[in-house]
Amino acid sequence: MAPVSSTQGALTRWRIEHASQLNDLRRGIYRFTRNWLSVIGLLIVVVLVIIAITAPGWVPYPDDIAGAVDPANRMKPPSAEHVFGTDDYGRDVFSRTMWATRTSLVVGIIILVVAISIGVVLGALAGYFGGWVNQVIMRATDIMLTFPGIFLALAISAVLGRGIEIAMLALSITWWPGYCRLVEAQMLKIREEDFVAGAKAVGASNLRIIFRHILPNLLTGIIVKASMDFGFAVLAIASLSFIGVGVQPPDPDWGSMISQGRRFIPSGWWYSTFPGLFMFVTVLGFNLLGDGLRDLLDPNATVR
Amino acid sequence: MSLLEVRGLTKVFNRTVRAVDDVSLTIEEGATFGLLGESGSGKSTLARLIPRLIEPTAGELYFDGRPLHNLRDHEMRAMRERIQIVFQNPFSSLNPRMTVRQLIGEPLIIFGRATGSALDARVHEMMELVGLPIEYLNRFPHEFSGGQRQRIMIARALILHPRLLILDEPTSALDVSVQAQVLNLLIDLQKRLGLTYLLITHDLSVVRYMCDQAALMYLGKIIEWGTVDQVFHTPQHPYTQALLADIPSTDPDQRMLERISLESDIFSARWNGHGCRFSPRCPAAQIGACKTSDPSLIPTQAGHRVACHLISTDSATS
Repeated sequence: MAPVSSTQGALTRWRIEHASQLNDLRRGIYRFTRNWLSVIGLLIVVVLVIIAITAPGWVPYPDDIAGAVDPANRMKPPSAEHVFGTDDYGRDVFSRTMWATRTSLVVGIIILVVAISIGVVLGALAGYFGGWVNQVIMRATDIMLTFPGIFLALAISAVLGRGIEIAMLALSITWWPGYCRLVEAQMLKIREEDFVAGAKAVGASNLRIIFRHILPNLLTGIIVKASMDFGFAVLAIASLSFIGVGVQPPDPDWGSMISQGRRFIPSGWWYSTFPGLFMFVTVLGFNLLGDGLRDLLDPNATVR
Repeated sequence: MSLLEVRGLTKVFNRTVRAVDDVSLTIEEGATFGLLGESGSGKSTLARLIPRLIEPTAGELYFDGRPLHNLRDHEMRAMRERIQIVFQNPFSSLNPRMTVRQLIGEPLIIFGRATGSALDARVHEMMELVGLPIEYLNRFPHEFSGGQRQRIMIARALILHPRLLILDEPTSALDVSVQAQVLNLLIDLQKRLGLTYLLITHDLSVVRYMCDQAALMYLGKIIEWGTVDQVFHTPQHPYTQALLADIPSTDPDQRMLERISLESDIFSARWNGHGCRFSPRCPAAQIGACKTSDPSLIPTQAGHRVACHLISTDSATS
C-alpha cells in the first residue's frame, strides 16, 4: 500500500470507521433527490437562507431599510433602478423585501426553538411519567390549544404593547402544545420498547432514558413537524404585522408591506405583490421540504 | 448462601391479572436455573420483576443476602451493576440510534467505571469476548443479524461484571442454526466469568442442555421445581409429564404409546380462580380437592417440589 500523509491517513481511517453512517447518508440523499418536489423545496429554502444571511451586503438601497424618505420617487413602477418598484415613501421595495427575509426567518426560528423546547420537554415528561404528571401537563396543553393563536397574540400585545418581541412571545406560547402532544403520544408508545427497559436495566436514570434513549428516536418526527410549521410561523408573524401588532414600521416585513400596499392595489400593484410572492414561496418551500423529509425519515408514512 | 432468593413474589396488573402469583425460588451462586413455561405463564414478567424493572405488587427479593425489595430507586439502580438481563428480542432491545461502541460502553459510563481510552479498551475486550469483530464498533444495530445483536446485548450486559445474568428467552427469536452458537457462548462465558444464570425459556431441550435446576411455571405459579434430572426423569406434575411426553421421539413405537395430549391452551382453558389452576386442562383423573383448592408447592423428595393434589395425597396416604 502506498504511504499516505498523516492527514490523509486520518481521513481514510475516519471514512472506514464511519462507513455505515456515510452509507446511510448516501442512501438518504438518493431517496430525497428522487422526489423532485422536495428538491425544489430544499432549493427554495437554501436560496432564502442565503438571501437572509447576505442581504446586508448587496441590497441596492440599504438606507431605505432604516426608513429614509424620497418623495420624488413615490410609487414608481418596477424599472431597472427599482426592480420591484418603490413604495409610498419612495423606498425601494426590492431592498425591503430582501431584508424582510431576514426578519421572517429569524423570527420563525426563534418561535419554533422556543415552542419546541417547551413542547418537547413537557411532552417528554408527560409521556414518560404518566399518571398525574401526564394529567396536569396534558390538560394544560388542551387548554392552550383552545385559544386561537392569533387572537391570543392580539390579547397579549394589547396588554404588553406592540412589537416584534411580544408577537414572538405570543406565538411561541400558542405553538408549543402541538409539539407537546406529538412527543407525548410517541413517548407513550416508545417507553414500552424493550430498549428502554434495557437502558433501565443497565442503571440509566430517568433523565438519561428520556434524553439519551427516547428523544433521539423521536427527533425525526419533531424535525418533520418543525419544517412544516416553519412556513406557518412565517405566515403567522406576517399576519400579526399585517394587522399592526408585529414588526413595527419602518422596519421591513412582508406582512406590514402587504398591509400598507393594499391601499395602492389598483395602480401600485407591485407594492403588495412582491412581498406576498416571497411569503408564498417561503411557505411553499418549507412545506415541500417538510414533505420530502417526512418521506425520507419516516418510510412508514410514505403514500404511494 | 444462595445468590438470589425470591419469596412470595407477586405481580398483579390492572388489579385483576395475577401475572406472577406467589413465586418463591432460590438460585445458588454459579448455577444455571431454568425457568420453563408456555406463553402467558408469567415467566417474562418474573424476569423483569427480579431487577425491579417493573415493581412487584408483593414479595421479597434477596440478592447475596441483601434485601432488594425495599431499596429506594437510586439504591436499586446501583444494584443493577450486579444483576443484568438479556431480553428475548434482539431486534427491539437495542436502541436503534446508538452505535455498537455506545451500546456496549454505556453501562460503564453510567456507573462512571471508565472513560476515554480505558472505556474503549473495555469495549474492545467485551467485543472480543462475545466474538464480534472490532471493525463493527461504529455500526448501528440494524446492520446486524439477530445472533450478532444478541452478542451485542450480552456484551452490554457483561461489561459491568455482574454476578447474576437473567436470560429472558435469549435464543427464541433466533434462527435455529444460530441458537446453538449463542447458547454455547453463554456456557463458555459462564465458565470463564463464574456467572450465575436465570434462564427463562419455553424450550425444554435448552433447559436440559444448559441447566442444573429446572422449574415450571403455569399461570404465574411455579408448579414443579427440582434438579434437571428430577424434573426430566421423574416428572411428578401432570403438566410436566404432558410436556415431556410431547417432545417428539425418534422411536416410532414409543411415540404413539406415551403421548399425553393437553387440551386447548393456556388462554382458552380459563381457570376461574377456584381449585387447581391447571384443573381445566389436566389430563389426569381428578379428585375433589382439584376443584376446591389450589395446591401449594410441596417437597416430595430432596430438592423436588410439586404443586399437585394427586401427589400430595399420595404421599400423605402412603
